Amino acid sequence: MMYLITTWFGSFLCDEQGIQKKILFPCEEKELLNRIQKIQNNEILSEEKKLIKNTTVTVQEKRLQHIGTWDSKNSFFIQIHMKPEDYGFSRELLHQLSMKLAKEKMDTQLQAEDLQIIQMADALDDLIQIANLLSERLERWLLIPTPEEKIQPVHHTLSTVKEEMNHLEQQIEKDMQHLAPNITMLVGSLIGARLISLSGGIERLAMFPASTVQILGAEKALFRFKKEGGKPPKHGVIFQHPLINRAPRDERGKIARMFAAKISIAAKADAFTKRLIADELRTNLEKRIHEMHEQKTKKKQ
Amino acid sequence: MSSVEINGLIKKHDKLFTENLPQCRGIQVYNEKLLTINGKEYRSWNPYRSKLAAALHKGIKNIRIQPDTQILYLGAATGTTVSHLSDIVTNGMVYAVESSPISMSKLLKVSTQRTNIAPLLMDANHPQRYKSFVPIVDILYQDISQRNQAEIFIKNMDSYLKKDGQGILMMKARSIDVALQPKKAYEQVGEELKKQGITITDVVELSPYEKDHAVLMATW
Ligand SMILES: C[S@@+](CC[C@H](N)C(=O)[O-])C[C@H]1O[C@@H](n2cnc3c(N)ncnc32)[C@H](O)[C@@H]1O
Repeated sequence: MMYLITTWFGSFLCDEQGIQKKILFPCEEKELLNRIQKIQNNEILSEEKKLIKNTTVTVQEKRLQHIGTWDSKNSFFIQIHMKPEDYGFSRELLHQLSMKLAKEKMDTQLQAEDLQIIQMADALDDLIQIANLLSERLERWLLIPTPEEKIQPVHHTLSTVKEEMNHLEQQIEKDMQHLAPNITMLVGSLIGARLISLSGGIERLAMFPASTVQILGAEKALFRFKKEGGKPPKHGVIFQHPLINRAPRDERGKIARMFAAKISIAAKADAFTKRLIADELRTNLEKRIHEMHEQKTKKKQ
Repeated sequence: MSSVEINGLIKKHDKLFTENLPQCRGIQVYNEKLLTINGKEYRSWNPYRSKLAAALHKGIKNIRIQPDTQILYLGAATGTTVSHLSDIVTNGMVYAVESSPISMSKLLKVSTQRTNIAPLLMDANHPQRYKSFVPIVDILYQDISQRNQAEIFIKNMDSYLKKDGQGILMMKARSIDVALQPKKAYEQVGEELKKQGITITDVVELSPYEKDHAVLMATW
């Protein structure tokens, strides 16, 4: 049996006796990075194709499944070890390559717009807390006779905080329209931004099942439920939406579930297909709620 | 404290220190204390900040790290523990996998002077994606507080740990199952590993350094 193994410095054709054939890559940063990029993109290298000509091989990487038998658990692969130093490639070079690649990848990931949204949503929640604290302080202070100039600093700070909250909300609205138009249309930019923040990014939100979306932001309550039993939480931040918090108590759970299902679909559209489907979702949701009401009245009759 | 002999690791007044790399003289990674003895600089290894230091304080046995050891480290974060391993494996390599770009920015800074660290911004759920960088290793170390930590550990052992290599898994009870007693949660992980033919050589709780955490040592 022959095995094909590719490392950052070359491709190797091996069997139980050891390495039978190999093609080393040019020992230059650019050339090596180029091949690593290809591997990361799931491509097959020309060196690999050349090596396996007329041979059937077993491979460990799924990437290579079209040119060999894919057997990731074959124990041969944890027995053979190619040392870069043996082929004139230094450890420092590997260090350099991985640093470069990690840096590039990090920069793209950190530029992702949803990271800005997350910071803004969190900053808004911070500001809300500060505003609440300051309002409470003022209220208490004003219970005793107080000259205006004494409370002036707190007053002033509070109005600045409120102003900045306004700015931030506007900015969130603007960015959310662009980044996640479907979610924004369906639940509004602020709840939408909080959902993105709680899940850690728009793609992650899109991957969550609707049941998770429904309770995002209620983790503490969920934790309590798992540990101590009682009632499971029905809704997280989406409860802030009037569709749920203005609904009659006995309907909230059900509406939250339907709402979360639609948000989940909206998130997938925003993250992946980029199609605008919020209108459809909204209509459909309203229809479902309407049906629920009809059933309820029927039952009463 | 354990009686392990590790090159470059010293004990002084019951505290652990690793010998700093010459090119990193004077550089602190996480505000740790620096100490010079006989012209060599040592960095204090804080068991409250690093679970591996905690494990050593709690007496895990037979941990085999030598100057030329190759380590695959999953969940490198900002490099606190990785930096101490880099002090020790002067001729080896630490392949440091971390999925968060924000942690990675600090890890890159830490790694700049340390040529025996290969930082990899990748997801440990997909070990195949770092196949071209990571060879067969002597030690697989994992510190990832995720629900499927056992599954991740198994996958990576399958792909990377050599036959008589050592697996070191830091377990966080709460990530395994919040409703379970910590001891039960550790057992559950142990069972999962055993089913895959993995032998467990030691399990030690990390209190008082870390609450509801334990280290599990494994081999094939
Ligand atoms: C508890 S911290 C590790 C601390 C570190 N080991 C130390 O002692 O310095 C866990 C790290 O695992 C990372 N992580 C979580 N899931 C991961 C995954 N699937 N792949 C890689 N890293 C992951 C997190 O980003 C976090 O930085």
